[in-house]
Order: sequence, then structure tokens, then C-alpha cells
Amino acid sequence: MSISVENLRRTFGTFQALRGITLEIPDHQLVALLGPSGSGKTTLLRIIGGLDFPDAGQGRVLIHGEDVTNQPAASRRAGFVFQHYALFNHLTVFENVAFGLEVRPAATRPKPEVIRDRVLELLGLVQLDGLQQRLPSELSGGQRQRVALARALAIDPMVLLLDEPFGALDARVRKDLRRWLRSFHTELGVTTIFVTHDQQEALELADTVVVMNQGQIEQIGSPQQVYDHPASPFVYEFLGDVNRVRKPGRPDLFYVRPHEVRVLFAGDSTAELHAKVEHLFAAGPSARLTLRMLDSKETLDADMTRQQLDEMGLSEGDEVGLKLVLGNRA
Amino acid sequence: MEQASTILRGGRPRSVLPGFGLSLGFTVTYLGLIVLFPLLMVFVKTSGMGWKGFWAAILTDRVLAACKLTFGLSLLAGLLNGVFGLLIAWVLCRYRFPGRRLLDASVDLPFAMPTAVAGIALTTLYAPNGWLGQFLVPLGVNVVFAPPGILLALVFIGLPFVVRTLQPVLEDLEVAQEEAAASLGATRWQTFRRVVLPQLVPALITGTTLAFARAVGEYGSVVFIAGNMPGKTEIVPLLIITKLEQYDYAGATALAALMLVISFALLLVINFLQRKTLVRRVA
Repeated sequence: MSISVENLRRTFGTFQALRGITLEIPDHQLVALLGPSGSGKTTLLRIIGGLDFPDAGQGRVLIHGEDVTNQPAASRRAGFVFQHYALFNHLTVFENVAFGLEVRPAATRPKPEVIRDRVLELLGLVQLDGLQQRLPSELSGGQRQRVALARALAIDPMVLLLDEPFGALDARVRKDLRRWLRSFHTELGVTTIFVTHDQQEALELADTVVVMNQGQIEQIGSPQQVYDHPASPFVYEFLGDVNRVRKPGRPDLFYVRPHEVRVLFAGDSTAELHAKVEHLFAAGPSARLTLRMLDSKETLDADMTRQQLDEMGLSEGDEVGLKLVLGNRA
Repeated sequence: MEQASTILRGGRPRSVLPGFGLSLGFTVTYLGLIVLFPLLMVFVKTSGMGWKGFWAAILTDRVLAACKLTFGLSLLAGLLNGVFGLLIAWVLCRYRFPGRRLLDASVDLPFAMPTAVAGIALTTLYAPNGWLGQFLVPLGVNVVFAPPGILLALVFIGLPFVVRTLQPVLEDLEVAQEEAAASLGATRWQTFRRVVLPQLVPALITGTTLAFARAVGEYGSVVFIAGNMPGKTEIVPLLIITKLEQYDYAGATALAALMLVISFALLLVINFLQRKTLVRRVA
């Protein structure tokens, strides 16, 4: 279902968490709200889910064209997955997932057999078959995460909202779950919004990335758009590693990603800049060089393949020439 | 190697916390001296009078009426404290308002005050010419020198137990769980009934039990407000004192032994109930 947010403002005391957010999310999209802590991304997610409300008269939230700004969470059918899962500790996995169906008014509550089948189906979907009698305390972090997801899906949500869904998991589980969530979304097609401060996660997973900073949206676009064509210095610095470089004889600053720095031999006539290799880190298929500019003494990171590195035979202390390959951007 | 050395040392597994033997010995000795030994004396004294003498001292109308009054009102006071203590703990934990700290501190007052002072204060307040009594007595509500007065005193002294056992549990309860319930479509009442309350039950039982146990043994505040009419408003602790004053030591210890047995049995039952509610969380 499509979601739109119009000119949303939210203030906590004197702190402006959201300063006029307008956002349009089409059906079936997987959207990342990306930003540093304090950028307002979680507040925005909570307002969409009905767990928080905008300042009086300051903005609207529409789900599938219907104005839900003043509706409480209970009537929005927004499946919310919390950062620390917020599973009901005293209930089994089965009871947790069944909760949303059990609390329906008698008139619309499914029969116990129907609830049972639905819960078991959902547990199968999130690959937790056979664990329905466990308590949350008996599950691993990744399993709890999937229970939380199944619980949110049980109410057949119009939209799925995930707050830092992988924040509390270790790197490996994170990666697996990320891949799994991607294919899961493709399969179900529920419009999904997730909050993250991890740019890698946002770029890898989302159809659309919404970059937020200080309560405002900096840029909206596909992962490729925001990475290759950052709309502001903030987006540039927030998405991926970046160097700030001053070319000799020119006052303006350049943003250059490490893979856009080409390392040449010191005597190469095409070199624009000259630097010294200060540190060399070569584990895995690529190598990362920390370089110190000979004139300005600023440092700069550069990536190159192991093969290139071996061919050039560089080691720490060597002098090199640099050329900036800025691709198709100015 | 590690296993081998364990076997060499007699098979006792190594623990990061040393001194089990010493600390257990201390615990048993301490508990023995402070709690068990004095209580044992009650039974030793009582055993001197034999079963026949024991039953003769117990099975009188006056004693039975006092038992019924004491345990009945204590149970009622415990339950009342359970309900209203939960409410107070909830308000103190969940809302921020001016004067909250003051209110929070005042919960402990029944602990700190000599209970006799509380009894006298309550009596003054509810006496026919007291601030509240002057309105209640014309309505036919007699508090002072009647069972409601005793109940009032017992509720007063038991309140802190419920509030103080619930507070940390309430503080630890994730607000996100309630939000999760709301986002799944639960009403406020369903959220309280199905999510919050079940997680509070073990602490609620503990607090109510403590308030009950305290009420059973309460003496100071009750004697002033109860009127102490034998068979009507006389509680067991008072009856014990009365017997002592009449040099009926055997009768007093027999009563004390009876109270101990009943209290212990009730606490065991409550403990068992609490176990049952805890099992699901830990299992």
C-alpha cells in the first residue's frame, strides 16, 4: 500500500526531531530511512506506525490515500518490528505470533483452528518450524528477530515498519538476515520501511533510500543515485568512505571516493597530485592505501586491487603520483 | 588436563566463586541464631504443656474468634494493598509530575513511623469527634473500635511492601512491549490484561504476601484503634500479650505456636502459587 507523509513536524521540548518531512512511498517498495542518530528517522517511522504523533496540525500521514494522522496504532494495521524485538517474554513463540489475531473483537476473530494454521504457516515462512512452544528467552537473537517479524505479519499489515532491524545482531547473522529479508520482501510484496544508520545495509537492501539529517530529508533516490550523485556534502560524507581533496592551485574542495583515486608511479606525467604511502592494508581482494599529500600534508585513502598493488610493487614510504577519476560527475 | 586435575581434587567442579562451604555455614548459623532458634523456643515451651493442654488453651471461643479476625482481616488487607499498591506503583513509575519524589518518599513512611503513632493518628482521625469520624459516624459507619478500623491500620502498615516490590519490575518492563501490543491491534485493557499484568504477577504475589505476613504480626497500630473487645475486636498478638500479663506463659506460647504454624502454612501455599506463575518465564 502506498504511504505518503506531508510536511510533518515533531518537536520534543526544544528539540526539533522532524522539520517538515514530505515523502511519497509507492506500493510494494522496500524503503530505507538512513541517517545518523538524532536525524529523526525513528521518529518518522513511529509516526507512520501511530506510536507517536506530529505536533498538533503539523502535517499528515496517509496510508493508501486515507488520512490516518490521528488514528491510534491499534487501528492502522501497521506491522511494527522493534529494535529490541519487544517480544512478550511470558508468552510462547506461538502465542506471540497469535497475539494480533487473538485480540481482535469476537466478530472478526478467526476460529482457533484458523489462527493455529495461520501461525504455523507464518512460522514456516520465517523458518522457525517446530519452535512454537519455546519462550523468547530460549531463542537466539536472529530467531527472536524472525518471531517479531512473523508476529507483525500475522495481522496482514498494510505496511511493515522495521526499526533498526539488524542493529542488535552480530555481523554474520546480520548479513544472512539481510539477504533473507530481501528475498522475503520480493516474495510477499508488502510495502516495507526500515530504519538504519548503516549505509551498507541501506544500499544493499532498499529499492529507495531516504537520507535524513537533523530532522530533514537530504535526498531520496535509488541506492545507485544517492551513491553516485549525492545531493549534498552531507550525503556524500555519510554514504561510503570519502576523501576531501584540494587540487593544487584551486581553492575548492573535492569529494573523492577511495576507488576513484588512481595510484600511479611517482614519475608519471599524467599525475595531478603527489603523495607518500603512509600505510598499506592488503587483506582480501582489494588493498587500501593511506596516502599523505606532499604539498598540503593532508591524508587521503585510495583503493586498488591486489593485482595492481603487486604489479607496482609498492611498499610503505614510497612516493606515488595520483590521478582523480571522477567518472561522470563534476 | 583440566579434567584430570578436577578428578585429582576429588571431582568437585571448580567454581569462580570460592567459599561455598564457609558462606553456607555462616548463613545457617546466622539464620539459626536470628530466626530459627527463637522460634524453636516457642515450640519447646509449648511442648511442656502436652497436646491436651495445648488444645485446651487453643479451642476457646475467644481464641478462635481472634484467629478468624486476625487472619481474615490480614488477608483482606493484603489483597487491598495488592490492588491499590499496584495502582500507586504504576502512577509513580509511569508518570512524571511535580511532587512525584515527595509522593514516592511518603510511601515509606509506614515503615519508618512507630506503628503506635500510626494507630493513635488513625484513631484520632476516625473517632466520633475526629476530622473524618464526625462525618462518618452519623452515617452509621463506625471505624474506630470496630473491624474496619483494624483493617485500616493493617492496610496502612502493609502498603510499602507492595509498592516497593512492584516498582523495580514495572521500571524494567519494556514500554515497547505495550507499543507492540497496540500496533497489533490490542486495546489498552487487552494490553494491560495480556501483556503487563502477567509479567507483574510474581512480584504482585510477593508484595501481597509480605503485606499479609506483616499484618498478621501487627500489634502496635491495631491496639489503639481496635477497642480490643474479646471475641469482637481482639487480635491474636494482643491476646498473647494479655495472656502474658496474666502470667499465663504456657497459654501465650501455645497461641504463638499456633500463629506460627498457620502463617508458615499460608506462606508455603503462596510460595507454591508464585512458583507456578514463575515457571513459565524461567522454564
